[in-house]
Amino acid sequence: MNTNDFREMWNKQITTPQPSQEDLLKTVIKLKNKNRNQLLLAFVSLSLTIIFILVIGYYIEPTLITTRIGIALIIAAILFYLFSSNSLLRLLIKDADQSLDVSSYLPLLIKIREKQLLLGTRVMTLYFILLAAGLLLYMIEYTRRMTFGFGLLAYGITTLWILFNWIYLKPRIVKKQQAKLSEAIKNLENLKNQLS
Amino acid sequence: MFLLTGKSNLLHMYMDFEEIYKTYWNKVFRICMGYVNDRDWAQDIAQETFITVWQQLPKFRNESSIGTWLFRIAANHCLRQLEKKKRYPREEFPLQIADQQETSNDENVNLLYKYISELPEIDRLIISLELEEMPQSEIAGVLGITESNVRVRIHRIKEKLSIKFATYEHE
Repeated sequence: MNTNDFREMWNKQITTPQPSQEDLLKTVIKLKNKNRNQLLLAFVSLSLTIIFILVIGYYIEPTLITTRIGIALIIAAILFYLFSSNSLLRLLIKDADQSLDVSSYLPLLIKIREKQLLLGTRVMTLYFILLAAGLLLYMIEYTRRMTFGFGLLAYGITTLWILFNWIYLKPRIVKKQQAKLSEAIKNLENLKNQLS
Repeated sequence: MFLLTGKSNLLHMYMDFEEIYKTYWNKVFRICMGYVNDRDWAQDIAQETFITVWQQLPKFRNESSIGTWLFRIAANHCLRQLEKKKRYPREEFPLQIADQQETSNDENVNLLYKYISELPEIDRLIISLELEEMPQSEIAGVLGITESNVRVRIHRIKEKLSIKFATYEHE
């Protein structure tokens, strides 16, 4: 077999008829709307979370400043958690320019994925720290009203729960989140190596 | 006044795109087909490619030929497929006509595409662009590697393919 045989066979492939330009452009608009809706949804859920917690903060009328700080930290934690979802990170980090040549595109894509990986891990760490700190501060006011024994019990249980989160839950969640990205990075590295 | 210029630019872009779309659809489809050897999937990648082309067209600056630019987008879309094991749900893309169409390629054609899709990813792109009669300097431009590297690799890939065909005939 020579080049011309290959070329002749190659060109014999029956191609699928192309979709009409109008249909294609409709898809462009659809994808655009989808991105916009995702951002909008994230924004709405963030706003609702804040309002909800502010309302709670308003009605419980705390006497200590620690309670308010605690609530603020918990709000911040929830915001971070929402932002840690990969799809949202994807929206926030600019995608690699696809008109670059492959040798420039692949390293850029790898860099972006690594950034997502790092950001995801950091966000999760911050989430757990903020949540734990917020909870412990929030409890001060209410445990002060309890007897010493009950107060100790309340703090003991909460601390145990936080430790369970930190030692067991957090690594699992991070690992699960990272698995997809780590694999993507590994595959992209493999492609990059094929170029040299 | 601004509105007018804006509109005529959009019209120009629409017409430019129309021409590009007509000229390159088959080529892009075949390249995607060489990459994945699956008609539906290839069609999806081809459509994704042209969606990007439409989005990026205002940024195209004639620094490279339109072909090099477009095939870079197609190549990058192909390479990104390994990130998406889950493919787009079909209904997100227009056109289901292809499903009704008969796809009676002759056996050698099917074999060629099958063998190409079994090559390492970058080699699939190199040989597909070569079979599309793209000059080796432009293939080098799409991939960002040297022309001599392209030449050597094309030679090796063709040898590999010939061996595969020869072994098949002997069986």
